[in-house]
Amino acid sequence: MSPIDERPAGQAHPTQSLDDTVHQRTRLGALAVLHESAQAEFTFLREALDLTAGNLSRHLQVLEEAGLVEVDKGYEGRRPRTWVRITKAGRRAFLDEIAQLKELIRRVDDAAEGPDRG
Amino acid sequence: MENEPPVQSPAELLAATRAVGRLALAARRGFWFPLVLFGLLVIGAAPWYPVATCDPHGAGICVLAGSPTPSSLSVSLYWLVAGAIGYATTLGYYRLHFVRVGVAGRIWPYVTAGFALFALTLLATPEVSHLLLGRGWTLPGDLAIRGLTPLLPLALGLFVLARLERSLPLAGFAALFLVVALLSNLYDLENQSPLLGWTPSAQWHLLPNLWLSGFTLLLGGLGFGLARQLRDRSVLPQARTA
Repeated sequence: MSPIDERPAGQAHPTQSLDDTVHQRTRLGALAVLHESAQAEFTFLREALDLTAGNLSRHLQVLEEAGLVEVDKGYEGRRPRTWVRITKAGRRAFLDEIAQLKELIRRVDDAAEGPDRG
Repeated sequence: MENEPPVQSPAELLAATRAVGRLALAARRGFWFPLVLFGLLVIGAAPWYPVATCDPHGAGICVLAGSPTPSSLSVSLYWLVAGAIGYATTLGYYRLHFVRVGVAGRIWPYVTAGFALFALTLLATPEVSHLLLGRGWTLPGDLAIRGLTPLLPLALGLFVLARLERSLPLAGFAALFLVVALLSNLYDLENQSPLLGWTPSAQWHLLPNLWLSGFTLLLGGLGFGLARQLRDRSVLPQARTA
């Protein structure tokens, strides 16, 4: 067993706690934007994440079906707009994912430093 | 993120996630505007702060107007009206900012903080607080004597804004402004203004106190606004590709 796998019995490795819905890079980026704001406009998300409209729509649909974001369509004046908001579940899932990533990085760093400890 | 690499380490993923989060945070910030606006409102309070009447035929002879404290109801009303207008205009600005930029923070913390700060301003405005709470409520004399106590809730408001906008530079500026506001309230700055080549007349001897705070806010707001413009042109596109 490698040092990265050494853990007390019953404690799951961080990779086991990663949520595939959230872990995907683009969806994690979208949740990061929404975590820092109450709501974001579709165009802002598309530009911030450097995506095509179709690609972003597919990712948002996955997040919406998982109950992690809410999508509202409406108008600002005459212009159609789509607003996206993170839900409480989405905020929690995002923070859990970040915590798991940090834990994973810590374990990788510990494993890399292991041989030097003698 | 469109052409994403097939494999990305956890550290790279975390770094990219943080970068795009910072991008959203930076985009939704707009605190330069309330700093400029309230700076102008503080500077614009000057006409309410003559503390003496001068005889135009008396070769510059001025007589203190009853009390050296500019605590008349008109001064108090100015601060309350200016505070309400400034707050409503700030909310309107953030609304427009959201429409233009496409990303917004939560509105309710701003509304709640605004009402709390307005209540504090009421307490810090002697004439109004006396009307509301009776003469039993008094501010410490050293604070009340110059009639500039509304600057203190304003300083507190900057701390709240720094918390809502999660900005360390604004928190640092709020600490600086608190010191300036206390100085404006507690120290006769006209003793130092001749060093800058300005000796106000007796009638306007409170202006250095008022304008030190006003210009601190104004210049701080312009500085933050300029920094935002520069960052929008350089740093943000880099963050998008991080």
